[in-house]
Amino acid sequence: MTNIQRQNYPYWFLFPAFAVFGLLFLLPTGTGLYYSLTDWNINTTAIHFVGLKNFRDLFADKKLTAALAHTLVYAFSVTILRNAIGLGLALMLNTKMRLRGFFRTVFFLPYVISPIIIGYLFTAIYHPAHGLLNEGLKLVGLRFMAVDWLNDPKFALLSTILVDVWRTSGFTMVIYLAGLQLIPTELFESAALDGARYPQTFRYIMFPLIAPSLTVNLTLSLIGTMKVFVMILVLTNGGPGYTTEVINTYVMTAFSLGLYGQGTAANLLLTALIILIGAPVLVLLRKREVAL
Amino acid sequence: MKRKFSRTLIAVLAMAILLPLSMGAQTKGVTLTMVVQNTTNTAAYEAIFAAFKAKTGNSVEIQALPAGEEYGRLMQTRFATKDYPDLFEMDPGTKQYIKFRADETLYDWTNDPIIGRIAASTVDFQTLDAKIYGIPWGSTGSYGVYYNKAVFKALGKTVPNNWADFVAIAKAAKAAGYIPLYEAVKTGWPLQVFSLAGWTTFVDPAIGDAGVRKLEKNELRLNAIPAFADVLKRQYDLMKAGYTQDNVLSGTYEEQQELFGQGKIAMVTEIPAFMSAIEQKFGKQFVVDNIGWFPLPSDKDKGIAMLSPAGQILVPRLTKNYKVAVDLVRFMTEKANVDTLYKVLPGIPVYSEATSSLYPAQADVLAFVKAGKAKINIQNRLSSSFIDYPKILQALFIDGNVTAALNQLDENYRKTGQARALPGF
Repeated sequence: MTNIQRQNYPYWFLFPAFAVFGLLFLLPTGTGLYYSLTDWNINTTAIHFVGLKNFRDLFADKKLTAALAHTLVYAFSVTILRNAIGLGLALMLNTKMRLRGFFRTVFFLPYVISPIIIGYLFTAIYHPAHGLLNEGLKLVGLRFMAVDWLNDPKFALLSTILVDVWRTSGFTMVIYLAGLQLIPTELFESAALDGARYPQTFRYIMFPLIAPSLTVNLTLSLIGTMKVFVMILVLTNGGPGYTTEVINTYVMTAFSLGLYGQGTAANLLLTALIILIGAPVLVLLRKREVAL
Repeated sequence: MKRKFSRTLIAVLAMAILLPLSMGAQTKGVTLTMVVQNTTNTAAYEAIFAAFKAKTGNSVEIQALPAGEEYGRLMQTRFATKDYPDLFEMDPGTKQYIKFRADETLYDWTNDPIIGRIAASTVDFQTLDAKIYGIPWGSTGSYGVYYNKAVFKALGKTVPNNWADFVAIAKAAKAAGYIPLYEAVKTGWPLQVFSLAGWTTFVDPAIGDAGVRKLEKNELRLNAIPAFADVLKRQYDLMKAGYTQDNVLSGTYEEQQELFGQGKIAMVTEIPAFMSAIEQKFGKQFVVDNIGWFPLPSDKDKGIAMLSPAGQILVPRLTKNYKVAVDLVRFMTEKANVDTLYKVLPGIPVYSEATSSLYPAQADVLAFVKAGKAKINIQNRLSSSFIDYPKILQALFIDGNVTAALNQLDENYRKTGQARALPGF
């Protein structure tokens, strides 16, 4: 075997994976880019190149601007809340407490259930007249707080956010728990000998050492929540009106209206948004890991 | 021992393979799939399909999809992906031919003997460029105000003679603890009924047939019709005045039916299928005794009825079983079977030899038709569509911005016309 052959050797192993990646991701993305520049719709017999018209139409559409804002609010709110709660739960369940295993299972359980089922469940829980939430609020004398959670424009987006936080906090908890359990116990022991209290132990030992968990959780959360679809579809279908419309429900509407070119363009916008936000966050968090 | 075991194993395997094959060979006929809207009362279909199976050995499975605008979208998507059902229900009118590219995809019924047995006006309505691709199915009905006669009696009210009367009824109903007008806002599609029913009373007299022709050619903008803005404002004002149910934005079609049947609602703006939905829940006698109908009244008179023509059945001709589907439609339209249809769903029939009785509410509609005070649903007179109408109206209920709603509606109407490559768009 020559030197060059030896150098090229690993690439032969990479080829099958790259071929699959190319066929199933790069090719559809490339064709998607092409179709976003065409007038392709359900009624056309021939597809014509229209340049950036679909993108101009999208930016002129106030519904898309609203959908974009809702997507960002949803993504950042869910990411922050589920990480805060997930970390809190992980810290709590990393201590020696009774029924620790049971609670870990209980908190993780919602993540195992299909989002569709959770959506339907919360449609009933949030029902303004007969829902469990409002009935409970009335029972404890908080009748004034019993609002129409999913149909009042003021509360609809918040209500969907809270459901997703409830559903996914258990998953972030598991990742943080894994990070916490990798920390050598000697560090805690020497910190204790030095007289460190819990906040100091958390600030100077735990938090820096679970940095990889934080990177994974934040990145996955941001990317996943920007692609939110099922939860919104089941709980509010983007309504009432357009008050909980997110980019993916906007894309679905465009496709269901048969506006395939415009739908593809909106989808590409979402991809670009995810890269624009996700990539810097990932880079920053990685740098932070190294610095810590 | 080993040999015996092997022989037994081979025999079991052979049976496992041959048994299903032989059972398959015994099954006669094909199974067709018919797609309907989930608001459809399928009792007539079930009876007719059972008779079809008894006669031909072919079965028909009914597949119900979400009703309203979404139904049309789902069917168009299925066509775009070549996922054709064997036959399907669709809203009436030739607009559907354009949507489904009938000349390429649908069976042509123009010269079929069925056509000779259909009322001439219906044949006319279903003809585009001398072609008929849809077989009418059902009866002529009306969008409008369906009211609970018992509630009206308790209020001491009769059918309104003008808009002021209508508002007075709503006021009296509210004062007496009834829900004056239930709006199924969350469900979405029922929200359109008010303005579509209001079109014939308020908009048609203002723009005339000439105005509708201009709309068809995109020479008139929807947001340039003050009478249309007025209809939307009236709907919003009723809600703002508190004449709809509490938690108006969470209103659903199911709850509307339930509360109407329980006698808690005075009026609803609904489609004809509302009666069969109520019949399924509260029985035929309830519909006969308690449901009346009137059009949205104008400021001066009782208003003009909005007619919804019978729906239609379309048969894609690109499926392997399309000939069986065509036979099924011919079978469905035989006198005995259309009689079955009208027995289950009474209404003004479209088949000349059919026997049908009418619900009292349908007799109310017929009185307007006979008096020449009726017009066909504007949606069925235009080739483009009022796309995303339910959501636009939900937004109107939230912000009260009639101008924004009309602008959005107008934009969608023109966009759809362009997408369908209609002349003038």
